[in-house]
Amino acid sequence: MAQTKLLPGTGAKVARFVAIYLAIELVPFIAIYLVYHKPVAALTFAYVIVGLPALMQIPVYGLWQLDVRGASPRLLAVCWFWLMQLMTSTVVVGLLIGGHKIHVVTRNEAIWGFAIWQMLMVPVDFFTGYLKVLAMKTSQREAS
Amino acid sequence: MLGTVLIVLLLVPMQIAVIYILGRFVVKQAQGPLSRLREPAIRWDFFWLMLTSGLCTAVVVVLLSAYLPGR
Repeated sequence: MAQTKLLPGTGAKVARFVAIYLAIELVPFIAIYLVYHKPVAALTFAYVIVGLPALMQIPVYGLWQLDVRGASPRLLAVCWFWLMQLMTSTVVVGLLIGGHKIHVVTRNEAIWGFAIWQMLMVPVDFFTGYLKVLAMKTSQREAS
Repeated sequence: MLGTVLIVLLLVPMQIAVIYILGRFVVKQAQGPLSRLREPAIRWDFFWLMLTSGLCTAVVVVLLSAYLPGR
């Protein structure tokens, strides 16, 4: 299994490494929560930004499994699009909610900020996530 | 009221038309990964991904406007 490179050139390996790193980073937050029975206030902002994307290691691993088991280029590309969507939008929602909480961002700015961010990022994710993976997996399949 | 009618009846169809015409030109000229959009299956994938991610964005916006404290 390990000799098959996961979606080469898309940064999937880096994404997986970052996700596992973030999950490990989550451990102290959980430990603090278990000891004091409440999230530490100073860490809540960082937790919202960092903690939620850590959960993304589960779909990244699932995608790796799909690739290893020979899923079609289109399926892999669609999954990669949604993965990138989930990662970018959770981070931005976390930032905006956190920013609203500490009075850096107003309510309207948080809502419109997310909507406009999505308008810009959805086509970007389609190009870099969907079309790039599709082209790569198709040429890989034709080569073999 | 008049503004809403104007936006729904004029501006939205105009935007869709402009994007459609420009998109046809771009796809016709495209080299590399974008040229895959000439295949019907890939085009449907594009359509559904844009539609579903737009709906997800709308859901998040509705949730934010319902549960973010303030006015």
